[in-house]
Amino acid sequence: MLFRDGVTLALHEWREERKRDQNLFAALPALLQTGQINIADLDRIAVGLGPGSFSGVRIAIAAVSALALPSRTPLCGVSSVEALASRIAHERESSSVAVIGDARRERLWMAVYGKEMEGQPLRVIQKLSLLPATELRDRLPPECCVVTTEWDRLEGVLQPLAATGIDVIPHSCMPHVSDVARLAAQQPASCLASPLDPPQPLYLHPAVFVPPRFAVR
Amino acid sequence: MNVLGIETSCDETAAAVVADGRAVLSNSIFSQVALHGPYGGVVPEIASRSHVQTLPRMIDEAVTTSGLDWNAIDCVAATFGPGLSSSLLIGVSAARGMAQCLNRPLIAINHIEAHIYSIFLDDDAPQPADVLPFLALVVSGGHTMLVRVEGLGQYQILGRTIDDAAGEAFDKGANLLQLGYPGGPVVDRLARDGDRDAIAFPRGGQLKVGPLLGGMDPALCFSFSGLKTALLYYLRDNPLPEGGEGLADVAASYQEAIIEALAARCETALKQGEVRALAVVGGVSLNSRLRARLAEVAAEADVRLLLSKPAYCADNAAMIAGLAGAGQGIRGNAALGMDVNPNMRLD
Repeated sequence: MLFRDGVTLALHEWREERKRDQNLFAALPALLQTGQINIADLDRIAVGLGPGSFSGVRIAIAAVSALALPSRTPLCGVSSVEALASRIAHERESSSVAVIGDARRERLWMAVYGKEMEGQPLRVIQKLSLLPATELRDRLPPECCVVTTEWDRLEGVLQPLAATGIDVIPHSCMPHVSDVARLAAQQPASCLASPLDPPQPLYLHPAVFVPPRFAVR
Repeated sequence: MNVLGIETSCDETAAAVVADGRAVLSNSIFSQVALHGPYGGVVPEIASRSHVQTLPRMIDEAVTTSGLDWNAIDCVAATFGPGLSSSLLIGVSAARGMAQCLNRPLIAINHIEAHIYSIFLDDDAPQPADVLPFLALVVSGGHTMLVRVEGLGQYQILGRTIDDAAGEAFDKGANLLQLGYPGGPVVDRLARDGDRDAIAFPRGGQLKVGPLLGGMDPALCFSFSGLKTALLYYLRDNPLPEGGEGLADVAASYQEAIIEALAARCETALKQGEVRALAVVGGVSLNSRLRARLAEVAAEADVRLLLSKPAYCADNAAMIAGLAGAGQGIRGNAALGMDVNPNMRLD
């Protein structure tokens, strides 16, 4: 998506059928052509940092880092959770939004965003963290809207919350590139990253390591 | 033609610029050894995360060091396989982004083929026409194979390992000896002061014909898992004293078993087909005993011994850019639509 002063200049959307489809690289030239702009003329390039697809987030970061390198175009990493929370808060006029996903390994991930009063920007109330499903109810702030990117996996956990009167959106919601762009446009220059040291994915777990079984005992 | 090469197939993050397939203008490598050392081997997820973090800086360093302007890069080449999927993905994605940014072609390169090509890097290296056909022994942490090279792009795999790679055998042996990671350099160093005939470790005798060999000659295939187990049992039955007495003998004997397994198969292959040279490539080709032993094998067979320069033995991007500059690799729309291939074949 190309975005200037709050206006969408060009937008290409698609759904990856396979994990490592290369549609991104077909979309980029088309996007620039539609917007009649060169990469070197961009003021900043925004990229979603996840949490999300293992391959997708890394493909995006590696690609935009390389794209931005010759021109040293600044990069802006945007939490995909914040992007989704900002959309939901706007659409449902909620004062706080809890975004929840399945972190696997018997943990959920959750972050909560909210605003103190109408018109104020959204801010982090609870940073992205892992928790067991049993603690979810107690960690939710009052009158918060709950949204997940993985309703199929978490229906069994979230449906009971809805039954207690909590505002749960009963389907999967995904962050949208327009929210990533809008949030990136609001960032001060001091928050931008050089393509030499690109923003990193939001990892939910430390790198997995299983000790080798082969050893002198 | 100036090629920007990118290599992230395992645990080295590398970028290089090579002119006309031979002149290495820059060769930037970030080794992740320190990150993987505590685990005794490469952890794929750690490798992938590190590539995301460090690759842009390596690319920038390679172009800056080359003395060229970004616009002087004529094409971008990257390793598409074989290797670790999650690592390959980072280099290929960056290469696609760079190719688009510079509006240059993308070239998909086979990592093993690039290792073989590494003997032709630098202007003082032999010309392919002067040494073809030749036998190539590819020995690294992830690969061990014997390849007959008829020409660039024309390969016949004569034999390969059915279990561990030679470099893996060094690493696992060093791990058992508590020498740290990577194992090859430290075993090589220790072995110089040891008796290589002190312990008779197995040398991966002739394998039986079976599905694991895929129709290849058993006399040209390798197996190192038995050697590793033999070391395990030896150390269980003969624990080394605290002062390290006898360690050099064990290291020398273990190393000799690996070297002889490699040398014996090279000897057999050299007798089977007419070639003009024996090339040894990959990280294990830095081993001093392997170099000395294969020099004897080559002399006996009356062929040239071709060795990559030390800077091009372990994984590097100069070999990727060089091979692309020599006209090899997959190009055009085929490269643009291609996914990474962890099991990419050479032949």
